[in-house]
Amino acid sequence: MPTEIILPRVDMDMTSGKIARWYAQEGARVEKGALLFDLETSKAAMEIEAPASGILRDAAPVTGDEIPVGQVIGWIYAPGEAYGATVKSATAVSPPASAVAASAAAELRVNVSANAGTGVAATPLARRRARQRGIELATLTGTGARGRIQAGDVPAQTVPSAVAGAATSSGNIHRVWLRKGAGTPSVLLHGFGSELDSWRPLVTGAPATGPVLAIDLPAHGKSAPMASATVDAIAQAVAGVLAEEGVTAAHLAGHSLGGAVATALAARADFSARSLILLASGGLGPEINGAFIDGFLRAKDADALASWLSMTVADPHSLPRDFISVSLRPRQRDGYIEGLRQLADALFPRHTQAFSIRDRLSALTIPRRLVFGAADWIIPATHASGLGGSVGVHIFPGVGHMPHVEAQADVARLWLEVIRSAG
Amino acid sequence: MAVAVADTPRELTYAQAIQEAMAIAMERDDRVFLMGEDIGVYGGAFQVTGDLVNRFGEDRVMDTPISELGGAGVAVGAAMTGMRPIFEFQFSDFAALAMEQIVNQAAKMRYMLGGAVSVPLVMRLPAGSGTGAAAQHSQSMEAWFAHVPGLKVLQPSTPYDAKGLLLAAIEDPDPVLIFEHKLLYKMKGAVPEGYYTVPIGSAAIRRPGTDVTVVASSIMVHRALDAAALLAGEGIEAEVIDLRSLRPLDTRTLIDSVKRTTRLVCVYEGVKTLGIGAEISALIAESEAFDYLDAPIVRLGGAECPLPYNPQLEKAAVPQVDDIVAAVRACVRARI
Repeated sequence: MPTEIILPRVDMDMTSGKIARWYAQEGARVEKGALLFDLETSKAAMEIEAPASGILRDAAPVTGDEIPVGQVIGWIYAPGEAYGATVKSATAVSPPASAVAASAAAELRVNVSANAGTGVAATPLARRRARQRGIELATLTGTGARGRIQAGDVPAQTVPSAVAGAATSSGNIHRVWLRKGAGTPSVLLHGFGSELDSWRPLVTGAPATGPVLAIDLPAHGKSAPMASATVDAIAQAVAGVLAEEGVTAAHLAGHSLGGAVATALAARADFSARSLILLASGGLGPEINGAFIDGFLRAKDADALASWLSMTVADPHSLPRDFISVSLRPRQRDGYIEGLRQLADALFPRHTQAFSIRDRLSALTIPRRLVFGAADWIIPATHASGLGGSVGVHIFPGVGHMPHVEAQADVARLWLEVIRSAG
Repeated sequence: MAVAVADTPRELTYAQAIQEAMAIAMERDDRVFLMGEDIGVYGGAFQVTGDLVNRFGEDRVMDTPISELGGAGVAVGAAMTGMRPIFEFQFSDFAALAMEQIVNQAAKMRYMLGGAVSVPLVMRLPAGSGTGAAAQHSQSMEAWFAHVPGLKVLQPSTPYDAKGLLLAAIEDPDPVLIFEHKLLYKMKGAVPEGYYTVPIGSAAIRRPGTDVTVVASSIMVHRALDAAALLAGEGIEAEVIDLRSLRPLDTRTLIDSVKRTTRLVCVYEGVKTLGIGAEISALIAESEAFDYLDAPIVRLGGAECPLPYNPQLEKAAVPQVDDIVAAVRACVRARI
């Protein structure tokens, strides 16, 4: 049975696209994973890879017509497989655009929810990864039993894409569009010692609120360390990333150190912050748990790290085990811990937060929310007081330093609320 | 006379550990007493009570007539009126004769009387196949009872747990059924002296692993561990979880493990259909772990037949080490 080539959905809003060019000619041999055709949508151009190896047949001609998502635009025959021109020829070969639209209507209904119910055999974990990474399952080839797509078949990132779902690291600051779509984007800034992946559960569980860009702060995740780090210097670096990504206005969310960076960013003249939600934010008072920072930086293995990370939550059971393994991963890299240590020395000298965002936070006029856990052992929730009446303060009992983990649903709701309140 | 001080932990058999737990409980608490067929001078069908009758007398180690229904009824009544009976069945299969007392009386009293009474009853049930005792003396009926709200159902897999879970069961205010595997009675393991308990409702990770979670209980824990050792040679790291308690189930440990390993194989001696593995499969599919599954869940349970007397057929009717190795391999290598 030949493999279908389907016009993939590469964007949540996308219903159709154009074939800009084929990289292989009719009857030519193609290799799985090699570039097969260029796809143009209303938003971007993307390179699409071959879903299988074999001979390209019945490739739809490049006419510039819009083709609906899910439409079969060609076939790949296994070497030696008999080529029958009658196979699905009705939908495969270039009928007029209007006929395509009509005949594809039924198919569209099936494909409309992207990776759900497409008839593609894939494990729940593979579906989850594809969803998170913005990858169309139909573009993948499964290696499991009967061709089932497994987690390992989902590429780590969408390599050819320059837009949503893609990760880029230019300028030494790594960033990923965790979600794409229309409207004002949200920008997420993680806390000290964390990385952008820490936002994934919140973003996955939250209702769609427009595109979401997450950034690895300097010295964190896949971003390079930064010399002479201050909160303002980090905010400047983030502003540079936003300019590169074409983001001139955004809703900002920050956790811990990221909260201070978000506020510094919101106060910049070259950027328009629409709303601000700060989770267990730094920069609101001098106290910070120095024993935690020291121990966290010293931890060498999963058990030690788990012990220290358990201080970040009120209930250690709320800390997912994979959170620990994810936190452990970048530590294998040379100089990673050293970079974090230098940052900690610069930002928290003698176990004191050496920076304050209180004045700037009070002076802003956009909607602002502070979220703290009453059982925060890292930064005391009392830091949320005394900011004047116009900053909303939410304090959750029985929650520690990770409100977005421990009170995920509540934080998702507040996030949506503050975005909506910005109009 | 010099007394040698052991520098290795003291070892007891599973049966000795159970006997020690009963003796400790009887010494600590006058209300604790034993009932069962041939548990007195004969020492019990599997010699678990041994010579306890000589230490505690016939009033506290009571032989009952050959009527499970009658004996269990007396035990339920004694528990309701303030005693702490430990009732031994000769074979767990015979609990079918006492179903009324266990399911309709013991499990219901606390609920039906608005909490005015409880039934602090412990029942010990020798279970499982492998002794050539045929269809009426070899079953694994734990799932029958784990289906009943009001009962607690335990399956210790080691001498340590056999003692600690029994002492926890005696303290528990509600009826607790302990299924003891007949093939485990002679198994030796480290058992501390004196009183300790193992909490009811907590599973144990017997071997950590990264590739697949193998959930087992009772003797299947040992077979799963043997299988895991073989699979490690092929590069498959299986995490082996010992359920210990079927009701209540330690769902958190199971869900967290599957989220780590992304695969689940349930191994149990009871009949596969509607057995404990069905429950675990369903709870994982319903839980947050669903999104982490990277292979279909596998149930490896007992055959859909009465247990044969023929030793070869008897072996074939319940999961063996080779079966577990093959099932885990297929799950991890995506052959199912």
